[in-house]
Amino acid sequence: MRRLSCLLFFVLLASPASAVEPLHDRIDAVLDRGGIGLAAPLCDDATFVRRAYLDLAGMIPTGDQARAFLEAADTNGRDKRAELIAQLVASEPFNRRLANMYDITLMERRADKNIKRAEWQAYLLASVRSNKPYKVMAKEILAADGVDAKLRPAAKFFLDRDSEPNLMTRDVGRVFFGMDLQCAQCHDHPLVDDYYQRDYYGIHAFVSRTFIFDDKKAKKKFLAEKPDGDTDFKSVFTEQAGFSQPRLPGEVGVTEPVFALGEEYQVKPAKDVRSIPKFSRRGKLAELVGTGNNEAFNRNIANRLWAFVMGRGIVEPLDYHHTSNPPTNPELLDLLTAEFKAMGFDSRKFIREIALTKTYQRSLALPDDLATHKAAAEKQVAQLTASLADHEKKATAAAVIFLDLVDVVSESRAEMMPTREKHEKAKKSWTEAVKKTAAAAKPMAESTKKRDAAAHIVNNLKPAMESVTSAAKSLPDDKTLGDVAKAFKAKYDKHVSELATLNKTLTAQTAAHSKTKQANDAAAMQVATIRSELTELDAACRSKESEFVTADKNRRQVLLEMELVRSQLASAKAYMAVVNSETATGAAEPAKKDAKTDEKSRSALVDAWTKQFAVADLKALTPEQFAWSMMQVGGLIDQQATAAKAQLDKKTPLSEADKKDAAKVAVRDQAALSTAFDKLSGNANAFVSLYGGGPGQPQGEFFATVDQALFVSNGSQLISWLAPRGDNGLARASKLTEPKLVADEIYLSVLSRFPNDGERDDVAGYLKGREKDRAAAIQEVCWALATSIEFRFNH
Amino acid sequence: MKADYFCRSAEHVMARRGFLGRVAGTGAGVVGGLSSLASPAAARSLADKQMRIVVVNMAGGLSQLESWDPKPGTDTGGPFRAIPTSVPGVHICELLPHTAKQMHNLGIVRSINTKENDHGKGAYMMHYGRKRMPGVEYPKLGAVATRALSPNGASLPGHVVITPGGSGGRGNDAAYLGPKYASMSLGNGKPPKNSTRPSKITEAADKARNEFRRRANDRFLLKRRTAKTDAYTYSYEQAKLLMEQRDVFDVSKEPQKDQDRYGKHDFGRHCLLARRLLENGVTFVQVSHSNYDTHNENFNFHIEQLGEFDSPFANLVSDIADRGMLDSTLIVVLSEFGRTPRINQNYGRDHWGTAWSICLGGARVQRGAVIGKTNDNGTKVVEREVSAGHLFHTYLQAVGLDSMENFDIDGRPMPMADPSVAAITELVSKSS
Repeated sequence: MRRLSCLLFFVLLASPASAVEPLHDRIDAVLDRGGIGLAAPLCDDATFVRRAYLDLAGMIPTGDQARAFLEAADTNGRDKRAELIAQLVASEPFNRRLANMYDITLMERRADKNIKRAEWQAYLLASVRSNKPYKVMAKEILAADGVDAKLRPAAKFFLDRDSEPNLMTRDVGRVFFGMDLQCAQCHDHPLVDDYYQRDYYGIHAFVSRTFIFDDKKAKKKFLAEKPDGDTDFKSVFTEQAGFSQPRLPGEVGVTEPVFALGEEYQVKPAKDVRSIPKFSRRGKLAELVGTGNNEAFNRNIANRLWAFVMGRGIVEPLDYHHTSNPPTNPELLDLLTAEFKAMGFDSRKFIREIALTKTYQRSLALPDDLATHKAAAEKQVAQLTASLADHEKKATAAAVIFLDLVDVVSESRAEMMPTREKHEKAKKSWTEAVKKTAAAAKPMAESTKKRDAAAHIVNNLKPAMESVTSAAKSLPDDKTLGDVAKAFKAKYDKHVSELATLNKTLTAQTAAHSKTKQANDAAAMQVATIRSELTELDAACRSKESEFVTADKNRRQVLLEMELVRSQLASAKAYMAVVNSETATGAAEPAKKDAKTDEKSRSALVDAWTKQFAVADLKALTPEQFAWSMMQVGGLIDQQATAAKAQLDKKTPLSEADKKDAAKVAVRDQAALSTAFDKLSGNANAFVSLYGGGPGQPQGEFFATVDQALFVSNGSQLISWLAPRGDNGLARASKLTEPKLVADEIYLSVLSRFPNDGERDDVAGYLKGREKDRAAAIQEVCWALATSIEFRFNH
Repeated sequence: MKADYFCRSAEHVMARRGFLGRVAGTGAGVVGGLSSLASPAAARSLADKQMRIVVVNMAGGLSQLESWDPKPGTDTGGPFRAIPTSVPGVHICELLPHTAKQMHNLGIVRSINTKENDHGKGAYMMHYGRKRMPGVEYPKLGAVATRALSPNGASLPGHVVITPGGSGGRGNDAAYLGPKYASMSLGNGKPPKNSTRPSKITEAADKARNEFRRRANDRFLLKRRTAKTDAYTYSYEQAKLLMEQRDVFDVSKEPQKDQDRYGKHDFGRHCLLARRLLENGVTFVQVSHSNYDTHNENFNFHIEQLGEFDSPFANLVSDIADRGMLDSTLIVVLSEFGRTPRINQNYGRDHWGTAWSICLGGARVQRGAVIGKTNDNGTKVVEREVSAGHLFHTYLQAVGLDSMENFDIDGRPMPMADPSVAAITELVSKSS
């Protein structure tokens, strides 16, 4: 009962119906509740504008955009931050950035195989533009076979993985369910209690019947599927055999329809024909995912979208959800999961809510008045320590129950193995019997045909013979006629006897056939009997599985509640360490040796708070953000967009009335911007190959290598970008004379903020004595800022 | 059923997970990661010793019968004699007279059975230490070595592959270890891309702009400094150091005498470059010699190819020894497979993964050791059969690593080498 009340506690918190407040407020509330009532202050406008543009538009703002935001005032109840978020989330750059995230998550920069990247990206972009619910997009991607031209790009996920069963299993698990089950391929995961071999094969079963059909005529590859093929497996550790029905993580297996022999296909396989089964397991996977009812699926995407905005997931790594790697704030993840579902899997709306939180606006700095919450924190540490012990007890109990059930479930499946074998054998003998029956029917049919022909002759001969015989009787002396009658009689008798022989043969054959038919029926009956046995066993398994599912959910809740306490405690302790170390230093002589301790405890606090999203994180720009931001500094995007707009205006000029219609002008601007993006997208390639992860590898990892630094220092690309162009910051700065204004222009266009006095002096000092090559000097300053930490990271 | 690593008592359930929290986020039960290296003392001692690896990749499949495991006078032996080496009792093919004189610095494994006759798959096994499995990617030897051995703050890239041609750039061979450990390839021995200052920017301007960058960084670092910011700023310092040391990639800076000794051909130049890089602290260097795929005229080709290989390779070994680097440098000569004992109608030998050899030496490899044996005419392994996985473990053990450990990749334990096999322990001395 206590367990139930815990469950209820969570359900209530996560329930969308119980709340009327907007989601962003509830997110803040959940996070506030866990802490000691203290978090980093909200960031300043300059930090905010850069952050928002990077996260929601995929690049830094132009100098003008930054200046406009910084100079705008929040008067008359206007909230310029909220306005900016609304504007960005509705923009074309946002569509591109989100589509790019989906591309990288789903394909992980794999090289093209069967579907061109451009077509795939166009599909994703169109999906984002039209606000296609995520679950629908996922359904399309998992279901697509490449035949429907409109959805063909969606088949890239499987087609470009060559439909390799283990690769598909691994990536469906990672990408859609956040579970890297690879280690469970050959045995139950040795280190992760939540990952079982049958989980791996549960997903495997959905995709293993799928294969690539190479259509020579169409010169294209499609996905096809077999109607049979089960996924049996054996642990390399314990030798225990098992099998899995198609099963989603955290659920009971799928019940599948049964078809009579030879009735499994919608389109039967033949040479150069793509076969289609009546029941598609992969189709079922897509259908189930499309309902949006699987918890693991929903949690995975909620976590990924949160990470998209915040730079880190509540679970990290994003594809490693399990109870030994718990969410840093389970309540928050539950809330987001439930809410994303409640808002119909609308990514744009969801992202907007996340961006509207105070949590999103935290600054890098810890609050100045750290010590004020000391008393509260001390009390909290005591409370949490006591409560943690209690939670650990509960968790142990739940774990023991759960581990027992694990065995029960795998054993119950294992118990089915002999019956499954019997079933397979019976199916085989049934197939044999069907063949034999067919074999027996063939001579019978031939004999019937012969017999009918013979009967026809007899029937025709009989009246003739009778009338000739009767005629001969009436003319007894006529020898000729008598001979004819005899001949008729002889012929008739011969055919009658032949008919009798044929009839005899047929009777024998009929008897033989009926015997095979009986055997056939018996075999069919046997199959049916074993199948019903199997169904019974399966039902028993299912009930155990569903018991398991419940126990697993319960265990998860218990563990996560404990985890929440644990991370709150860690956070409070980290806080106490800072306060204690700093007050001690303040009281005693300000010894130098304590500076290091201070720094260490502060950085531990920053780490703890970062996990709780109470302070901003340093997020490395993605290769795309980095490349587009560099292009933004160089004014390349503006230049292309202006050119595209001029061309559009020339081709289809807007009427005077339209020019006054803000909506129509906006549509035109978006179209021009879109053209500019298409034109420039190849520019990002060099950055992607240097700053991106390897193909097929997770892409979130930050790394800094010498070839990157050489590229931005000496490569021709960046040098040509960071040059005066049109009206870009470099061009403007070159025309200005007053050092302060020059510095402003450069800082706004590169770092999206005004410089402080020290920085202005630094710029002025740099330009001093460079009157002759002022443009070059400005370019150097821009380069230095664009390669600085402040530019490389989102903060 | 779970493998029973522990009994089912509540205490053990607790203990096994270390109840989650102590290792929260890192995955319970990760075995050490490279904890031995993570301890500063151990890392420093390895750095002092500067363990390195040089791999000579005999592309196409070197014939073991014309190199490390000659069978003269048999039906499969071919026309060449076996000659004595600097190790009494050990004979190799007469095509390697100079290498024979270095045998006391090297060892041979003559009992390899990789069961693989495909170029790509064979090469994968030998360089990655595992069979290629669909859906799974592993890091290459160079990436593993660099991650485990390269000291933090090295100024040169740790994983260098000298290719016969190509334009250079970063390889895709580090898998989950991340691009930081991927190979930097030097196309035909040319220095890394973008390693010269553009002519438009003067040295003074370059210096000034970088100083401005550093000042900007210092201001930002007051707000937040992390491992990431350190790595980022360091990559520029590394670039600067690399540009200053760009000569390291230039073999023409070696004494003319050495250039003559190694030869003017690509392989000679590449071996000399390898020596230069190893001397300058690069952890892993791979050189290739091509092409040994001798389906036709096996014997003539081996005369020609090994004639080119023998002297520069022997020079490389003796120079490494003369410089006192032998104990810290593992030398490996490998192929994707060997060649058939049967001589085909074109006087060629075909692909053969069943019974072949490699040569390795230096580091902790027992000098002069010969491991394993094939039968009289070389058609099968009769003693100490090993596969690519064993060799991979052996390389790592030879440079002082515990190849049975796991890398901790973002909380996921990833075995350094295939855990189902182990090193050829008798080939590796316990300590160097």
